[in-house]
Amino acid sequence: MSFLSPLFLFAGLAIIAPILLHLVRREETRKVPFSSLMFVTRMPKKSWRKQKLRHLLLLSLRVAALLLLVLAFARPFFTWKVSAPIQTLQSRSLIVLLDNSFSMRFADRFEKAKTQALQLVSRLAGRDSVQVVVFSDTSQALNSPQTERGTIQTLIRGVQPSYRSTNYAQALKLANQLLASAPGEVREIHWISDFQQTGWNDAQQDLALDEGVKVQSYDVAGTDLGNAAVSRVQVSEARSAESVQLKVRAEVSAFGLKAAAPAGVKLEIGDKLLQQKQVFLDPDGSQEVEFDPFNQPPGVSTGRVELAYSDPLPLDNVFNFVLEQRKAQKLLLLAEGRDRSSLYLSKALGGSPDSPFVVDLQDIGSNISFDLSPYSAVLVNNVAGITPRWASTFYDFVSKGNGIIFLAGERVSPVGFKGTIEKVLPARITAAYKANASRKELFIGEIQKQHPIFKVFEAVHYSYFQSTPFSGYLQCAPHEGSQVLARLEDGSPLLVEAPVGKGRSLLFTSSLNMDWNDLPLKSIFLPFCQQLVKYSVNFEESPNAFSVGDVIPLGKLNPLLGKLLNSKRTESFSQSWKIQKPFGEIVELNDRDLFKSSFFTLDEPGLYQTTVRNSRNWVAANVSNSESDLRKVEPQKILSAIRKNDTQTRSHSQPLQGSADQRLAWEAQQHLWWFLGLLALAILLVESFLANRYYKDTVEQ
Amino acid sequence: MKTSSSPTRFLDPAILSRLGSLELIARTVVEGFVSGLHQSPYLGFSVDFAEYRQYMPGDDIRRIDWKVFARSDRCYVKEYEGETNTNVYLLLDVSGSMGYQSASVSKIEYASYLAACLAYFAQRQKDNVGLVTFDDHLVDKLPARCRLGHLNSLLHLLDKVRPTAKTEFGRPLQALAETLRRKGIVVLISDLYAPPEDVVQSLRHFRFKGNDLVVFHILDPQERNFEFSRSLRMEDMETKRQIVMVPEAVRENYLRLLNGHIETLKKECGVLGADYLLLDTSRPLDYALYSYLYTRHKSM
Repeated sequence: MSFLSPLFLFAGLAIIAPILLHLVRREETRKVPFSSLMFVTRMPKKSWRKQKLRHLLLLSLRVAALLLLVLAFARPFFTWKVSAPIQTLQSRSLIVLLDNSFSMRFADRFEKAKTQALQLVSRLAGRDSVQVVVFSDTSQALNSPQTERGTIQTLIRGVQPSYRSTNYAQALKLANQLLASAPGEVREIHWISDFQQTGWNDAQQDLALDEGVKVQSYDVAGTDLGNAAVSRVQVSEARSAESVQLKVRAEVSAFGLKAAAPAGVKLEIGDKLLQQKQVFLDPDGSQEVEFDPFNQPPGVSTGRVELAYSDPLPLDNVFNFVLEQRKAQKLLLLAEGRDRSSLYLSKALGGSPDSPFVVDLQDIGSNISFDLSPYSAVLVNNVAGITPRWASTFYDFVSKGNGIIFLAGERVSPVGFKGTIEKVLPARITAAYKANASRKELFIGEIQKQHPIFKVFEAVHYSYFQSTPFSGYLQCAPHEGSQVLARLEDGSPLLVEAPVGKGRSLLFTSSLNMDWNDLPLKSIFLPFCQQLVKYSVNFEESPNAFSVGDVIPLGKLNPLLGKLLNSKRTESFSQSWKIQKPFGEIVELNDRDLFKSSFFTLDEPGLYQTTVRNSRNWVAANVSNSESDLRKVEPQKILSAIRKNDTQTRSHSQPLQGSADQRLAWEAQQHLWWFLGLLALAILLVESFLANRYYKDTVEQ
Repeated sequence: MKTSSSPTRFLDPAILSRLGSLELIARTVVEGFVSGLHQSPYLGFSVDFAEYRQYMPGDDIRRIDWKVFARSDRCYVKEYEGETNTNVYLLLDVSGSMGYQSASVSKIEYASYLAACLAYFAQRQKDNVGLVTFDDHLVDKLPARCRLGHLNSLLHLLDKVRPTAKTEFGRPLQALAETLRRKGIVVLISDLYAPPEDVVQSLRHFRFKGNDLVVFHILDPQERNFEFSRSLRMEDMETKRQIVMVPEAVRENYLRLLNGHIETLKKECGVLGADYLLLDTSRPLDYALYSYLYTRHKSM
């Protein structure tokens, strides 16, 4: 219970008055002559008037009436029985921020959210303007500021939950921007959500709302948060001389289950059940299910992993993916002789069965064919020099869009890299640096962490690189247009990149064997080598599945469509391209659409099927696994983060912090003071009746 | 207080009929008795002249010695020795507290009835009976006489008493004791609202002169029980001091102090050789006299 005028409660101290009156009983202090007060005066004075409450019923009635009157004047109102009314004396601009992310599909959350929104709108004053913003990982204002309730309610009724993830910060930012230009004197955000903790990242939030913007949150999550999901599926290839086998690993996660439970996990390939495994779901935790390798014919096919477990959010129990067998790319590794200096490198690039590369190790000095067309990239490892013929071959090779990587070592002579090869090299090699008694070993001083080569190491730590000592390297001067991706601590380039024609040339000024560093012994060696090559050949890994909300190039929907779009052959657009979405909807893309936007948004979980010239292709999309984790972040935590930016916030769980106008509206809606006053009046009537009876008795006495 | 024009209103025949079967027996028989069992300090009737005394209002004018008046132009009456068997002195407290009344009879009325009865009774015994009213000083004094008209004078004096002032035993009773020349029975009728030691000290003067002492302690039932209810502003009838009190809170202490006071008086009177009798105005007067005479009879 809250009070509109809580200061009136101090008047409750007035109950002392009737108590004192009943103790003193002034109305009965009649003068009575008595023969002598000799004995009375001998008593302690305070004992003369040792009080005893009389007429307790009368006293109770009087105190009760007084308290009720005090309560009535304090104008109480309840806040938990009714929702906060939105009434004001000033005009308001409200943003109804309605969460329609995938997690809102859990049980009846979204219906509750819409009901809450409709209630909010129904209590609006006439001049209040409202904008409805639905948000998930994107935010969308459904209307411009409107005062017409019916229209707004229709809009709200039409909102459907999406399959996308949640981003609270973005939604609040949009709401704040909308309120900045809103007409109302009072600006409020009414935020209805399940407050999923994955929608809020403490570290990323630089959220600052304008001063005066009030935020009120409405939590519709309820208490049942148990959910299980297939959070990830990984498909790997196991190549052998005879065949290529596929291996599927699935990660099954449970979030807040009430108890551990058994569940089945099915693997289906092309709508056929292939394998089935049993797992035991922990209440909170995840486990990996590894299916047996299986043979798969070349080409594109679809698969799905389904968790047979009943929960209120069944859509995330299925994970769709696409299987595509791709040919391994051939790499030419050139070295001097067949020494072991290329052992680590060749094993890193082609040693594992699931490697996308096949390495062809050749001696640069032997009389080999200069036809490099079978190769995607050439690696020149630790050779003394490059002959002009090789140099021109390399130039032609790279210019066509292929990659070349020069790797240094003990054998490299700066003199051998002069002349024609300098057109291919991203830098001019000047000298060799070798550590000795007077020259210390060097460490990596700087890495361009956002570069594709190094970005994948973000998840681990760059200290693997930075703790590696380099005892030798080639000193070089990068060409104009070249980009230094890593430097040693003395500033010397370690990895330099330069575009050559359509291709890329990379120079690693130290060795990738044990000559000048021990990188081959580090766990990052293999991924680093592969990243180098992938970058040089512009290798694009096509994921087995995307997340709902991802925006992909049209070429991803169907490679043939991509090729046609890149070729810009206008005759290819004589027909409409149809995309069948997971739930059966057909999206037709005409020529204009294709020219206008070459991207497509995956907004449903499942398989997107596209057929171009009899070439059928699928793209799988799944709900973001973050949406399966329904654990909540306390709205107050988010609100307190916002509050740091001097924003007035309040949570629906703390309605007492409502504005004065809202409190006034609350109170006006309930009129509790009226009932209290009436009750006080009734009590006073009873009191009068009883008091008269007592008075009569007294007079008769 | 009830008032009446008839001075004989105190002599209720019903009371007297009850008293007729009892005899007032003086404890001390030193001076003999006449027709009663009590002894007069002087034997037999006497017509021996004792002294002249100045005429005082209330004296029978027939007792004026006209010869002396003729010679001196002053009124003197003759006092005779052995005029009666014994002297009974009724000391009546007429202080303000005696005016208290919670029932049909106030304490002063009750005390007046009692005094009248005793006077009448003594008259029948041919004893001299005198009356002294006092509060904080001597108010009226009627010498002890036994003549027929004396009773009327006494009753008249009783009829006009009006309780007003404070109670004080020391000064007025000491002064009275100084004036008593003959031993007799001193009857104190009072509510005794004074420290017991003051009361006893005052009586000690009479006892010292050989008087027999009888103390009637007159209390109103309300004084004895203190059954007031509800908060009230109580006013002392003597000092006019007012105290707001809650009687329920005071009652217990009050009764304890009152009973202590009574017990002290009873004990001190016993030590002094005085008879103490507590009388309640709610009780019949004849019962009170009967109880007293019965007590006296037993003590003989």
